[in-house]
Amino acid sequence: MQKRKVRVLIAEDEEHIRSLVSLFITQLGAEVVAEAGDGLQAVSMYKQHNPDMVMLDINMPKLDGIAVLKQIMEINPRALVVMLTSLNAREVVKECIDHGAWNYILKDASAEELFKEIKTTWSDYMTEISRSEKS
Amino acid sequence: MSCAHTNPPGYVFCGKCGEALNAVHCRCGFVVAAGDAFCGRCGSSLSVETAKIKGGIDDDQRLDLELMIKQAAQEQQYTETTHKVRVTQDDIRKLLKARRKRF
Repeated sequence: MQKRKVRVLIAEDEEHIRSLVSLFITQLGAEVVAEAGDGLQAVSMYKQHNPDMVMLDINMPKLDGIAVLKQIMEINPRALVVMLTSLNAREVVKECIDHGAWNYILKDASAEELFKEIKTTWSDYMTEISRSEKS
Repeated sequence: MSCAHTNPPGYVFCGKCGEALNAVHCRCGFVVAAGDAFCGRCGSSLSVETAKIKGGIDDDQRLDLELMIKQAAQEQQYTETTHKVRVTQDDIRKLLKARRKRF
């Protein structure tokens, strides 16, 4: 049976970063099902597409990423949300983790590191899911 | 007002130094809005501040005021510290490791 591709939503207001992340996601063998340029669009697209993974920026117009994260976790408490931002304040990181973000990737990483981090995030998540299903 | 300039009637700000006329100052130096009960920067009670400006305060009030200012300064320092702590991707990994127990 053919394995289904991992479906990803990218919420990022900067188009060039969106394109870069989209490229990484595709190279990892996943599929970008939707791209949102602001927070409201992100929530709406999440409801519409129900993706397996969300790459979420924090500084976005209309609704910030933390508010988007909270709304997504209300819709699906097991949602795989990865924050991708340049904000590196401990308080912000902790707030996102407390609200269920699976990973928090800093944008100042090199393209190589970013690629590696996204890849690791997905494999860690899958390992954790299979472990929870076995137990 | 910090300068001794005499301003004509109707002036809201000092014509020389630009400071708001009839401004209420908190002990911490912050200019508060007229009618405020507490300082918007350090949280001190302005009624005590006003009492001090109007004609002095007694020892108990002075101790209360000093305590409030000390507490406000500590809170402000804590807020600044927590918001200034920057993390690296390695720090984030450590934070995440401790939290990923939700399944």
